[in-house]
Amino acid sequence: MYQVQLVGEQQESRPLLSPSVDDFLSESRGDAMSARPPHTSNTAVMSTALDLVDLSEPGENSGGSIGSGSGSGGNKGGRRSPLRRKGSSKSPRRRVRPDETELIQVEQQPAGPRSPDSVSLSPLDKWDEVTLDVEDGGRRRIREKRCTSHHSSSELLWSAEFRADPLTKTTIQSYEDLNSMSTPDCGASRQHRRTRSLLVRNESLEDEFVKAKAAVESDTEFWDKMQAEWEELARRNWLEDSEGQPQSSPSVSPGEQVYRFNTKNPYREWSNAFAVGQERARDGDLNTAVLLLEAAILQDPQDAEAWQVLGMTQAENENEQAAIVSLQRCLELRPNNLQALMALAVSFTNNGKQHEACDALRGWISHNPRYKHLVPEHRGPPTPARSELQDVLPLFQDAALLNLDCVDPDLQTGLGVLFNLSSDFNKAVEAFTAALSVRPQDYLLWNRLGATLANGSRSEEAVDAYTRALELQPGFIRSRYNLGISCIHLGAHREAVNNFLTALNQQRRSQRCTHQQMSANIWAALRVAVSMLDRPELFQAASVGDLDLLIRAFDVDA
Amino acid sequence: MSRVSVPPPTCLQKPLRVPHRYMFGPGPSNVPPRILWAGASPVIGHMHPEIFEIMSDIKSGIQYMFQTHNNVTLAVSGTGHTAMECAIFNAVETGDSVLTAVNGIWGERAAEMAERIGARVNTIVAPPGGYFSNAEIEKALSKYRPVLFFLAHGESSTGVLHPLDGIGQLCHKYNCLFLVDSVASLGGAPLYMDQQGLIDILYTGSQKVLNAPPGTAPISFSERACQKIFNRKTKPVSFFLDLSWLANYWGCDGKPSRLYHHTGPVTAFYSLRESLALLVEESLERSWERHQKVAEYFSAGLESIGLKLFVKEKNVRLPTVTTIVAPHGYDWKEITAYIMKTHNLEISGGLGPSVGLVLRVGLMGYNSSTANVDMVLAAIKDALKHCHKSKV
Repeated sequence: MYQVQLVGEQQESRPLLSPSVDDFLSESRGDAMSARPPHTSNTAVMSTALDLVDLSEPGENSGGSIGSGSGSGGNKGGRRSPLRRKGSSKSPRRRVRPDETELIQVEQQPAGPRSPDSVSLSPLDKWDEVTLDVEDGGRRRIREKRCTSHHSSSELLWSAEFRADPLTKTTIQSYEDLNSMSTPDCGASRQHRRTRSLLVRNESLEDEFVKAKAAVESDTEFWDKMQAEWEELARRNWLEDSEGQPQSSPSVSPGEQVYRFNTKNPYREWSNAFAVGQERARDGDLNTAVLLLEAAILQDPQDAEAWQVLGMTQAENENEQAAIVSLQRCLELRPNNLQALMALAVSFTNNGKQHEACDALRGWISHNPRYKHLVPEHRGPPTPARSELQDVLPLFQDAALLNLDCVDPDLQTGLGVLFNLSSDFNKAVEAFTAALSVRPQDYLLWNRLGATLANGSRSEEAVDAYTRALELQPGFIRSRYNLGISCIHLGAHREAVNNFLTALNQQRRSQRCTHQQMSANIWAALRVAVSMLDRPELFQAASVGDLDLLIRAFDVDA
Repeated sequence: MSRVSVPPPTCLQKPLRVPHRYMFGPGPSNVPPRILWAGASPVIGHMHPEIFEIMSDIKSGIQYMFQTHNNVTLAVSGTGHTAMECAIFNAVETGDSVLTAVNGIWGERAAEMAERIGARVNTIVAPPGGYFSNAEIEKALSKYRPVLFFLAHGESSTGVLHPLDGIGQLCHKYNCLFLVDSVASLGGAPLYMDQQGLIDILYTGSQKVLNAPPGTAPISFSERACQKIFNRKTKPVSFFLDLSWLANYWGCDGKPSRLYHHTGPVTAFYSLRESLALLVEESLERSWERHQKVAEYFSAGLESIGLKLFVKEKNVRLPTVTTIVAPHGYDWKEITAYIMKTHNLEISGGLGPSVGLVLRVGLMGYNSSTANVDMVLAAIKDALKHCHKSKV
C-alpha cells in the first residue's frame, strides 16, 4: 500500500507503480495529449492525494510538503496538479452548492455508482476545475465540471472513478478472500454489497490514495513520461536490498501494481463487452479485444474472469507487464484460477523471475483437483525456499506419472515451463510436444514449443512451430514477434523486420489509436533488426517510431 | 616422525595456462608487454637502496599523475580497497563523524569501512546514474559536521564521473577532510588534486588506466590531512596501514633512516614504476583527450546499434567505463557469457546498485582505442543477434 511519508531526503520510498509501456513510445507520441511539461515526478501520485488535504490554503500546493527528492524540483512550475489550474483559484466552498446537481449526475451514470463524497482525480490539464472541500471533518467532496469539448478528460474521469472504488474494494476484499479459504464465487451478492456500500463514504487517507492512484493510473501519458523517474525509484531501493540481488526489472510486489487502462476506449459503455471481447480475441483482433475486456472490467472490476482473459490476451499481444498485472488482479479475486496461474507462471518465466514463476506453478498444482493431493501440507511458517525449482519440479513429475494412459496438456505445459526455467530445453520441447499431441490446434502451445526451441538454439525448428501457430491464429502477435526474433537468429534480417512491421501494423490498424497500442518489445526488437541492415535512414525511422515509412520501405501489406 | 599426509596436488603438476583475453570490463585491464616485462625483473630486497630509488621514482610519478606537491605520497601495498582502508583508518578515529556520498557501490563500501572502525557514519544517496549538487553536499556537511567526506570521482559501478568543482572548498569551509576515490578515473579524466580539487586524500589503483597488474595503490595525503592523522589520540587499528610507518618506509617523513615495516611487493613496484613512465611519456593531457575521444566514439557507436547509454548527461559520463542500459528482451548474463565465449572478450554486467540494469565496458589506458571500440561493438552486435530471448 501507499506510504504517506513526507520525506525530504531522497531516501523516501515511493509507491511502486507499474512501468509505462515504453519510454520510447512516449517520445514518439504526437497526439493531442502532448501538451505536457517534460518533467513529471512520481510525487504526482502522492501529491494528488495530499493536495486534497492541503487545498484549503490556496497556493500551498507546492508539493514541497511532500519533499520531492527526485531529480529536479517537485511540484513546481509547470507541474501538473489536478488542483492547481488556471482559474481554479476560487475557494472550494463556494463551489459546493451548484455542484450538487452535478454530483447527482455522477451518481446516476450507468454502471458507475460512486460515492458522491469520494474523490477521484485526474491530473490532466483538460480538467477545468477540481476543487475540494477539506473542511467538514474530513468529508471530501469533489466537484467535476464536465467539459464536453474535452471528451477524453471526461472519459478519464469515468475510468478513474471506476478504478478507484474497485481498488478500494479489491484490496480489502482480496485480503479477506485470501484469508478465508472460501472461494466460491459470490459475484452477484458482492455486487449488491458494493452498490450499497458505495454510498458509504470511505474517509481514510488510504482511500484517498487509492482513488488518486486510480485516477493517475488512467492517465497513460503521465505514465509514459514517468518511465525514467520510475526506474530511478526502483534503483533507489537498492540500499535496502541486499547487495548483489539481481533485479531484471523494478521489483514490485503483487497487488501493488497498477493497471494502466487505455484512455480512449470506445467500448466503455458496451453492455456485452466481455462476450464480444472474448470473441474478438478468438478471431485474433487482439487490440480490440483488449479494449473490450478493459471496458468490461471498468464496468465490473470484480470480474475475475475478465481480468484473466485480459491478462492472457495481453500476453498474446506481447504486453508482458500488462499481462502480469491483470493476471495478478484475477488471482487476488480468485486465487484458484488455474488458467491465470499458468499464464502468470509463463509471464514470469519470460521475465526471468524464477521464484515467482515457481510460486505460480506451485499454486497451479495445489489448486488443481487432480493433483492437489500430491502437494505436501505445510505446518508452521512457510519457508521462502518452498517455491524453488527443485521443489516444484518433482511435484509436476509425480503428477505426470499419474497420467500413464493419457496426457494432461496443461500439466505438460507446466512441465515445459519448468524445464524452460532450468534451461533443459530439450525436455521442455518433449513436454510441449506431448501437450500438442492432445491439442494440435492450440496455437498457444505451438508458440510455446517454438519459443522453447528458439531459446534452446534450435531456430529453424522454431520457425516451423511459429508458422503453425500463425496459421491457426494469424493475429497472434507474440508468435509473430518470436518469429522475427528467430529470423534475427538465423541472420534473415529483412524477414525479421517484415515480421515485426506486420505485427505492429496489425496492432495499430486494429484500433487506429495511439502508439500506446503497440508493443514496446516489438519496437525494441525492430530497432535491433533494422540496425543490422545498415540503412541509417531506416534506423532513424525505427528510432523515432515512424511506422508508415518503414511499412512503405519494406513493402508490408498495409 | 611426521609423515606428509596431504599428498602433493596434481593440479600443480600441470603447467600454468592463462588464456589471452581482451579485458574490456571495468578492470583489471590488459597489461602492455613493456610493463609485464618490467615485472619480470629480478627480485631484490624490499629495503635495498635500488628499491628505494624505484620507490622515489614512483612517488614522483604519482605526484605528477595526481598533480600534487604533497610530500606524503606513496603506493599502498594492495589494491584499491587497501587504499580506501588506509585513508579511512588513518583519518578517522572512533566516534568521529564521517559522511559518504553514495551514488554507487564505492560510497557504500567506504561507509561500511568507516562503520567498522566505530565512526558515526551518515550518507547522502543518489540513484544509480545520478550525482550530487554542491548544494546537497553543503547541506549534508552542515548537518552532520563530519571530519571526513568521501566521494567517488569515477563511480565505475554506474558509469558516472562526479564533478568536483567547489566541493573541496566546501569541505574546507566546514573543517572537513575531502577524500576522493579516483580508481576508475585517474589518468582518463582530468583531475588536479591540489589546485582544482583541494583534495585532502586521493587514491587510485594500479590496474585500471595505468594498466599495471593489480597490487599497488597510489595514494597521497595533504598537509591538512597529515595534521589530523599525525595528531591522533589513538593509534590506527591497522598496523599494516599505519601511515606513520608507511610514510617512513616511503621516505616521506624526512627521517634519515627507514625502519622495517612490511615487505613491499617489489615486483609490483617495478610494474607500477614502468606504468607511470608510460603515462609520463604520453602526458596526462593527451591521455585525457584520448579517453574522451574514444568514449565519445563508443557512445555514438552504441547508439547506432540501438542501445542506450545509462548516464543521460553527457558531461558526467565516465570516459573509462561506459554503462549501457541492458537491452529489452535480453538476459544480460547471456550477452556477457556469449561475448566471452565467442569473442574472448570480457565485458561485465552491473555491480552493486546497478546489477541487472546495465552492461559495463571499460576501455582504459592502453585499451582505450578506436580499434578496440570497433571490436567491442562488433561483439555486442553479434550478441544482440544471438541472444534475444523468445517469449514462451
